[in-house]
Amino acid sequence: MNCLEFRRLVLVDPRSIGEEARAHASECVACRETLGKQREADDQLFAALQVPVPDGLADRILVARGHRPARRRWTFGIAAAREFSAAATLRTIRSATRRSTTSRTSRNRSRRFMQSATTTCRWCSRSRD
Amino acid sequence: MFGATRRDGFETVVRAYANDVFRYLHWLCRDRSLAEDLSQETFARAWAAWEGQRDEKALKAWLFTIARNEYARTFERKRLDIDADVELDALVSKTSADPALGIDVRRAFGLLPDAYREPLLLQVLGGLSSAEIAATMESTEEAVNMRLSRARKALRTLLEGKAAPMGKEGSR
Repeated sequence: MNCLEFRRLVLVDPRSIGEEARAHASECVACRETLGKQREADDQLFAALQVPVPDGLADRILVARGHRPARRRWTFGIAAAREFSAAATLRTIRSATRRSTTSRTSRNRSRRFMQSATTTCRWCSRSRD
Repeated sequence: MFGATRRDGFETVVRAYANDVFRYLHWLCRDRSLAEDLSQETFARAWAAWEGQRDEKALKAWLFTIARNEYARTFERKRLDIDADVELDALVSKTSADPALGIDVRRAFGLLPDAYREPLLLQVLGGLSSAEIAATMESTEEAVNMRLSRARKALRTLLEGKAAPMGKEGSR
């Protein structure tokens, strides 16, 4: 193997150059240096690709597929209680609004609150129907 | 390898690969919210086609293939960019004209055309071989190797801010 062939292999995959290229690197100082530099560049690239992953991504994927990780069950219980509480609050507001004899401005304010409350969940910020 | 039951096996795989699948999709679409939706779709399809135990290496390539198809379906884009070569040359010559640009690795990688970014992503992030990348991208191993080589040269040029010959592999 000559230096040109070696450098071509290094550009394709510096982590997997094969036996023959490794033998060449052990004898050729310049090519060994080229390999080292490219591996370093790949390490930097690997680090740069590690964008932050949203918290709880794997859990959300599993829940969406009907999985219920045991250690997370209590979280769903709390979430369910919050949902129930939110629904009860909405029912109260709705009936209060219906009975209300307050001014037009106040009724409009209540309507706006109702609209925002029925389209967005205040705890998880996900939209609801 | 991945647990006794179908469900356990799937959970192990989701926990092992969800992050890499998300990152791969993030670099394809560059949108966190869309990348999460596509990650969900990827694992929904994987679960629907789940056959239990698989070879770990093949499984990762399989997941990346599903993820890529989900991304392609979203953008109705099955074929690679045909002008990727021209795009890469233009990018490198433009950046070479301004050596004081001083861009970092992440930005330089983001500037690469899709057709060059993808094989590098699958190799460096996914740990896939050239043959697996070719299968995932519906391409040939030779074409993948050429793109990997040119992508690395382009990255080096972008980061070092100096012009380098960008001829196709084998022309030097």
